Amino acid sequence: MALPEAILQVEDLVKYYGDRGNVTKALQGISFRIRKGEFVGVMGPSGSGKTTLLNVVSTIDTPTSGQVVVGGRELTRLKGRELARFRREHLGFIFQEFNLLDTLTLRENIGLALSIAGNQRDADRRVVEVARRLGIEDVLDKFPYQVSGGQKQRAAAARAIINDPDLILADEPTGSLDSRSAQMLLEAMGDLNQEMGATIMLVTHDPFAASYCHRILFIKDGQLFTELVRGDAGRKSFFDQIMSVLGLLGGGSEDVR
Amino acid sequence: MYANLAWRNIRRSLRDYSIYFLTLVFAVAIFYVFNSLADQPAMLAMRESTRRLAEATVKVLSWLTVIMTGVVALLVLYANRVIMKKRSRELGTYLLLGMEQGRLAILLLAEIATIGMAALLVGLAGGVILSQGFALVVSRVFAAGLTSHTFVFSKSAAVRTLICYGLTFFFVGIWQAAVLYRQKLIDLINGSRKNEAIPVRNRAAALTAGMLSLVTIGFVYWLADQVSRDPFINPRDGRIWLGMALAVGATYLLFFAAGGLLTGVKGRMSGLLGRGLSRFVYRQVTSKINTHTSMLATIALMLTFTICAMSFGLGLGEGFKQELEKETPFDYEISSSSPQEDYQQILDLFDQYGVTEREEVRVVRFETDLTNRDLMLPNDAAWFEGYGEGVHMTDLYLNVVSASAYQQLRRMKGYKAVEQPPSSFLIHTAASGAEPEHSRAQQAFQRFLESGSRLELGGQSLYPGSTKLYTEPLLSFMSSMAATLVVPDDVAAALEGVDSRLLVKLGVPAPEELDYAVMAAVEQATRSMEDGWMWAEIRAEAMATVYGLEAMLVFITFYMGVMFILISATLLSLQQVTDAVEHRQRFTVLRKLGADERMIDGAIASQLAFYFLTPVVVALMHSMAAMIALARLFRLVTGYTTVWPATLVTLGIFCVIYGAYYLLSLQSCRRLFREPHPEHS
Repeated sequence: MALPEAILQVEDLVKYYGDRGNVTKALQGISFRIRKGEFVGVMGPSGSGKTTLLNVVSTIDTPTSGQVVVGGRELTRLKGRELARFRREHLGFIFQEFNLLDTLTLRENIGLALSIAGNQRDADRRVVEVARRLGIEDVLDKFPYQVSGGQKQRAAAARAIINDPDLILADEPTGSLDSRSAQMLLEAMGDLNQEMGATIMLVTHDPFAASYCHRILFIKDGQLFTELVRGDAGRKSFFDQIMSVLGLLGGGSEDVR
Repeated sequence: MYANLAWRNIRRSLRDYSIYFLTLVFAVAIFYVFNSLADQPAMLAMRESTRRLAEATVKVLSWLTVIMTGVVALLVLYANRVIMKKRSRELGTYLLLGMEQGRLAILLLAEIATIGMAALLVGLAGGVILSQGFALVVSRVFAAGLTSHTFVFSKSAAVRTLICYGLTFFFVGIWQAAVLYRQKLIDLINGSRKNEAIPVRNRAAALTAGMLSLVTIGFVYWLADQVSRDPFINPRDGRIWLGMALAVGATYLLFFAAGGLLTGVKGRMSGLLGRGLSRFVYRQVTSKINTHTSMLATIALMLTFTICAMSFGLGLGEGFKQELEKETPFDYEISSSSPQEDYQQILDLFDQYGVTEREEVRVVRFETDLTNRDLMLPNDAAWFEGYGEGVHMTDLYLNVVSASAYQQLRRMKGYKAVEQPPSSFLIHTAASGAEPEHSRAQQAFQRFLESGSRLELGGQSLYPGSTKLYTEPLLSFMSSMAATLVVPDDVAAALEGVDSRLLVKLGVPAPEELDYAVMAAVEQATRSMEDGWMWAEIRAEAMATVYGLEAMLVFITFYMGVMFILISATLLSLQQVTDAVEHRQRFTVLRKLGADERMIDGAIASQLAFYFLTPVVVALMHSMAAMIALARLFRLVTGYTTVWPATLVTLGIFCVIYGAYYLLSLQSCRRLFREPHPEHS
């Protein structure tokens, strides 16, 4: 059976910060691939470079050297309009702090991604459909400050998926949520992955969140440390496997919640 | 959708940045009001000479307002930076969702422009309303005697306002959009998370700076005191500039030191600081002083300038007016080089213009060989020989007038009649002035009178008719350094006249045309004479000039002062908004620790009050020293104490504007700190 095509291809990625006197080597030549339909977690202790990796892959930051290819296009070559167009057509984002606009209702927040893309056809219907899938249909006309954290984060997930992007990038999406809301969100993300075929890269240091993924990339000191594939294992046993790798990784158990 | 987005953002901006918006509205309104001066109806009701000065005022003001618009533009730029910083995450989100950076820049431009336009329109409307009240002020200041009141709208001022502020907002918008266009996405996303660096000051350095600044400030105050005792001080005197430069430097140093020293205070003062949230408030304020040293120092200096300039400007205008009251005690003083002049031609003019309700007197000044020395005892006269250089006061020739003319002058001014026995003389001299020489001369005359010394004049021997020295302001030559001798009419008749004067006092104001006719007649008379002259001193004309001068001072200092207070208050308020995010975290922690809402509200109020008052305390200290010096100098030079009432007026205006901004900031801070997380929800 042929493997699905690689949606994300990271080759020898290097990112240094700072000036001559004081250089932080956040990424030191990391390489990996994520295939279409995968739900991949990225884990590592604080300062391991996972946020930097996400920033570079999500075009928020530019790499010092190396390549990032998404859907066959090299990100570092993209400029200006192309970059904006790329973001709206190929990428979706979910952040720890939700990043919803508090001047817009949830419906408008979700629809914003569509209207920025100039994709207004069936907009209302599509918003409602995604909202139903994520269980926030009833609160669509409320403002962000009127709903719970979990509902906000699911609205952010809805906004990320609405344009049917090649890759959804999630940065600690459960970081600000209580455990029940976190569980609901992760189940919803699992649904998006299973039923809508969304490819998701989830950066987290929460092993519970990671246990929803198919495959985990462990990063340490800006390099790939190891990789864990869930395969046919149940979530509970995958969680245990993750915990043992984290034990190996070290980097302070206080990072593990 | 884009328009919708922009509109919603604007609505939020208005709510969050009410202070910024208010300042724009104020600035626009004040700009309009002061530019509308040219079209105020009072301007048309003015005398020609007032109007000429008023026009000069208008010109100066219009330049000044343009310069101040530049300053306001910087303020607007700063405010926009604050807003951008606060919204950077939101702006980053648009980019992440795939909005093109150029479009986002245009969106921001549209937003800034819309807010600007709204402020422009509201400000203009406010300005038009304010200028109705301003019309009354203008009429009062220029003494234009305006009775009927019509609605004033100055089209030219409105156009100027639209152009100046329209351009300001447009360029600020462009600038801000350009900044956004070049901003990196990662900086936007991380922007609002960055904490401001808290400078760690070296305690020893702070202590040294503190001592140095206190010593310098003390020295400057002493210098001001010294300078103010010198009535002949040249405004370009080096000490003045040195003092100012030192004061500026020392003030910056003072705030630098305060930041370092106050932050260093450990928890020892538990009695005072231990109660409730006072320690928290103390830390809040000191950390602010520490991080905003130069801004606070600048504000303190701006406020100092404002208080001094406004008090002095208003006081000087009032002083001019009082000075003139003294110098022109009569409505008309027509003088002629001919002692025989009967002034019939002038008096005919009064009749011609129907000004019959009047009193007049003709005064002839007589010539003698007597000088001030002849009115002094030998000892006193000798003192003057050794005083100063050039012409001695004792060498000045006396002025002589007849008793009847003198009594008539006194009666017309309403002064008490003076008993003058036959064969006696009286001495009239200037009221004591600034020069020590002058008061010395008065003492000498006094001793001469008391000694009962006689005086030979016109073939008669005269004795002092009174031991009292008369000093009321009557005629310009009677206020000079040379004393005036009042002699019986028969003595005067034997003397030779030098020149003459006609003094006229009116019961009702004369038409302006009469004054022009008088001036024309006097000029005509002078021209027709071989080598004589005629001169007219018309009080209404002189007053008109003074009113014009006073108005210039009042309007310019007023405008500058109000703008400076406005800018200072806005900077302080904006600072609060900038730090709102950080502060909110701190207040959230306080809440979690169990502080109730009342305590929190109290803490916000006192934190803000301390923050607002810090620069004011320094400014008040400085202005106090400066005003004491200025008031003394002012009294020395002009003999008036009009500065202090003006200071009170200034402080009143200051309190109103500053207080309004304090209350507004308080309200907006309370709202900001109360809302759980209004922005990145």
